[in-house]
Amino acid sequence: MPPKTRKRTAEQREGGEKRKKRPSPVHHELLKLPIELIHRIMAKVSFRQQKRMRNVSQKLRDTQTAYIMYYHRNYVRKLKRLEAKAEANGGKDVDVDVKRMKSVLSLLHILDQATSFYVSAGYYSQFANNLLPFHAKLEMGQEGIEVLRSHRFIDHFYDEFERVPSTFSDKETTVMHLRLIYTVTLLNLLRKFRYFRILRFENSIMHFKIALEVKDAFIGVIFESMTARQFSSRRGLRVAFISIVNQLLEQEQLYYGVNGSYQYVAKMNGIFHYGLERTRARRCTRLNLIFSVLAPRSVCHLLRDAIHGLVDPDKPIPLLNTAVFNVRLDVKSVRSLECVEDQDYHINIT
Amino acid sequence: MIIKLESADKVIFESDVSIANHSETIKTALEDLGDEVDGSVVPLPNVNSAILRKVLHWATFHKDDPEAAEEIENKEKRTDDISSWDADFLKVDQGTLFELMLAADYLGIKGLLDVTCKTVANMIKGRSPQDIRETFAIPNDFSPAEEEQVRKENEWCEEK
Repeated sequence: MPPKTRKRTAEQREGGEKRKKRPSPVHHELLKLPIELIHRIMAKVSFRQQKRMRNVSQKLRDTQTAYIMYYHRNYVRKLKRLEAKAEANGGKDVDVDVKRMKSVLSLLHILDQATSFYVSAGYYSQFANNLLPFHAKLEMGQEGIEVLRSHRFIDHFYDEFERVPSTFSDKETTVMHLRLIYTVTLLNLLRKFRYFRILRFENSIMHFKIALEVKDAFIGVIFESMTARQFSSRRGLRVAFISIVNQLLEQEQLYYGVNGSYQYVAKMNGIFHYGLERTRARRCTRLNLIFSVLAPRSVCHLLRDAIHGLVDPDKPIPLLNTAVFNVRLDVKSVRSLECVEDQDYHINIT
Repeated sequence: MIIKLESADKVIFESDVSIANHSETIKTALEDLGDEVDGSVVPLPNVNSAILRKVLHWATFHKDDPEAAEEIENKEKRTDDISSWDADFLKVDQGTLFELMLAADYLGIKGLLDVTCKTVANMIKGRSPQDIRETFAIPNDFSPAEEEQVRKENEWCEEK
């Protein structure tokens, strides 16, 4: 309860004794305002303008990241609420385009699968930056869904982790931690395929080998030069491969049963040709992947857990000892149809 | 009924309860006081007298306004609907504007909080990062590597 006190009013003072000391107003700066107030201001600024705000200073960038993450979580929650409401009405809701909402939710779910390990590890800024075009389009009444569907979202997201500045403190550890997150994410994505299975599993001191199969999927490559049949950029290859796996997963989860093949032009001496192919042929299409890992036991255990879906994407992947960490991925596609591209190649993830 | 409000610098203001009730914080304090409200002083240690005077001036002008409703999402970004009286009232230096915003937040005066946020948002809209830095005296604390990262990020966002 506020204390009872009796004082002279300001009006009583006026005309009477002059105030001895008027406190000078405290001058606040925009960035010294409580974060809730800065968020309130951001809420009144378009997403395109928020992008400009990100470029003002690191502090404003961090604040905007926190805002967009909060906004995005609320957006997803709202969509889920609407979906539940529509389902309660038997899938009919006159206020919302139920079909479109479901598509957006599915795409956001796939996006979440592709990014959650990075976001949990604290790489919010990269995620926030890539989210902005999506929300900007929605805000302008345009189809934001195309931003999510576009592989460019994923490409740019992963590409940001390939550009760790050389000035970054402890760059080597950071890069290896990012490669570990990449591997966990990739394993986690692969196990989400409907016809995924573990073929073989070998584990010995410092070594870990796992053979996987994804039925109906293929990822081949057409090299630009027949004489140099190898990839010219390891960085581009990592980005391209995980992006392709994401697209295949998206295709399977959103349009199950629909065959399709696509091309991904990568800046690394090759064009990927990939797709889903369900046929009644005796020799069914399948993608075989062998991960050969050289790493300490803790890392091997983490990867083993990842393939069994035992790594919580909402918890940060710990900074394990990655002084020795090498992952080689051998890819082989078996096609039911005749094809011209190479179906055997390998990727060095680390 | 008249109530008394005490600012951070110990200045007492008298205000009609209907005006003071624009503030959720004061309203709650008065409810707490119950019958003891008469003669009591409500301390407002987070607002100085200069700002409290302005806040009461604003609240007096807006005393007949309907209670500010929660904003509808689509209208949230609208900032061109500031009344001319409010626009004139908020022609103050940045420090005062931020203090009014802080006071509105502390006192729980939604209308004033909204209009101060809109005013700041209008100072941001349409401006380049450099303009924003100059307007709000924000130093560019990006390292050259971060600046390069920002530039690359922008390429992608602009493409979209």
